Amino acid sequence: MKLTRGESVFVASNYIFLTILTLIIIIPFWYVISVSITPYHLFSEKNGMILFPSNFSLDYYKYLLKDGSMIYTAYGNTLRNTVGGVALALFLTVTAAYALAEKKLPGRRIIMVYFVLTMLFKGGMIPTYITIKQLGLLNTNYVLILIMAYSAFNMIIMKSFFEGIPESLRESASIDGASEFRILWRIVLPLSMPVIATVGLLYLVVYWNDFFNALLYVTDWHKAPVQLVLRTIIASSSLPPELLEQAGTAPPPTIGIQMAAIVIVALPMMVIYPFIQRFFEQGMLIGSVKG
Amino acid sequence: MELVAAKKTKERAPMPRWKLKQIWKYKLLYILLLPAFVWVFIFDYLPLNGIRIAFMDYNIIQGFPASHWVGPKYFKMLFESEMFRNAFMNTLLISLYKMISGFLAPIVLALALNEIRTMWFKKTLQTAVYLPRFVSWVVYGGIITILLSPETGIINKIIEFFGGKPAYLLVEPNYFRTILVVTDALKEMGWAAIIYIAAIAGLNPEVYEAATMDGATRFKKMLHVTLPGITGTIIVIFILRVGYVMSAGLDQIINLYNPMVFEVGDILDTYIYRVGIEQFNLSLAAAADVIKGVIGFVLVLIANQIAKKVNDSGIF
Repeated sequence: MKLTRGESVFVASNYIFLTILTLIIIIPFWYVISVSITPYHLFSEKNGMILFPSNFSLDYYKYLLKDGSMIYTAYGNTLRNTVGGVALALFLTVTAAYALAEKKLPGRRIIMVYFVLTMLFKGGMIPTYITIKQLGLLNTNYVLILIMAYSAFNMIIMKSFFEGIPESLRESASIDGASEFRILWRIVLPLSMPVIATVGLLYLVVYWNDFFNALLYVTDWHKAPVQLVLRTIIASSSLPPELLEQAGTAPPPTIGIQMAAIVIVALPMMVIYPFIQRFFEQGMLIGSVKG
Repeated sequence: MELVAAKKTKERAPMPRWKLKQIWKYKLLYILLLPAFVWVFIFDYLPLNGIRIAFMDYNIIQGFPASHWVGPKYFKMLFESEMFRNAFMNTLLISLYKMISGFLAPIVLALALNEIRTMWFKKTLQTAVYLPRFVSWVVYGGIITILLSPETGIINKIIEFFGGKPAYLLVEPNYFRTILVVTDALKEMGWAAIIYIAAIAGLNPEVYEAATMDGATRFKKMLHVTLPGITGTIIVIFILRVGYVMSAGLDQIINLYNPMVFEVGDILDTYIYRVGIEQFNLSLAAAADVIKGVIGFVLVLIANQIAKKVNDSGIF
């Protein structure tokens, strides 16, 4: 199709607009990665203007990832919380959503109210803190796994998806004598990969990126997730003593350490999401249309 | 009395047999519901019970048994507190600003993306704009702090390069809210655009063809076909956002603010955190929690009712 002159201008300016916008979003990340692998003398020589590293050095990473560095402990904590948390969260969400998707379930309306009421009114930061404290969960290894393990919003997305699965499919299976567990495991779950990937990703991001719950409920550095350690590294103009103790040698300049730490913490999510993009674009559609 | 009561229950016929049978038939589903049911009870309903500390002098060491009721004492303290009033107003203002920019940006982005016909380019752009959604505010806030830093920050280097005067932008009350609004939009716009992109994909292609026949240019089609086509989605998203006005962005602000900008950047959530967790004044902070919760509750209800009326698609 041939474009008129006016349309060409429109299309061209649209391309330019989007390219600039995308660059504004991406360049900060690119910049941080570049500086984190550039030797410091080059950084000061070029006055910080480093978009493409001309010289390569992993000094900052070596410093942060020294043997016995607390980054390892923190990373381990985050990994444990994320793996355990996402598994638990998917379990709670799938089971609840599957049961509530059955329209003939007696008492469904009332149970539904029970499940979504707290979307409207929450106890708030302090009452929740008091509760966690009373339950003896403060400063434990599993408080962060438990506290984020269910979201009514995600349950509703998943429930909408389950409701869209033809009833005949489940009925014929139950006539064949399959139990509800079996139907869920063998028929419904394999059909639900887009929504499971989407909701799983949403939980994954929440668990990996959480720092505020950690700030509230974890005060012991040995139990702190990596986001909390990063926060300390960024907030303090010097490095936290917990980190320095391990080091021995004089630390390299803070700015490089900060950037390398940012990369170490953010990289896993940045690498993972493009692979699941196809799923969550579909999955959000389900959530938006029926949510 | 007892007799009457007994009679009444009998009349109501406690549960018809078929209903019990029905419940029995679905027993496995109830078992499936149980884990989430317990979770919601512990982590959502038990905290509601903790709200009473807003009306008590809470004893941190000995807990509720050693605490006594003081009525609305802490609410009075809040209303007299300059800092609380400041946080309250900031919450409303920052939310309002974010509602405008954070709401318009994804719509513009989705419309613009829709006009890109080179598929690989479109996909690449989409992947790129989603990126910030997948990092925490610790990371994003950290990047922003580094970029804006007075000595080493690249933004100041650029300002200097063009002959401007460098400044520590994050401690300037004049710039702080702008920084909040802009960075919030940049971080969330890609993800928020997904819904609009999906809505656009669902529009009827025949309408576009008809518009082409009538000689509409691409720009005109965008304005007169695409935009009206997604108006329903836009309205619902906007109304639902109204329900969250009381949450102005805790994760973002707690990673960016500092005492120099409390005056313009302190919000209810950060106030509650500082007073309750850092200064151990749990009752005062809980009172602020209650105020935030009640107003938020009313707003969500109203927003949801309106969304239902407008487009038949509230969440509840």
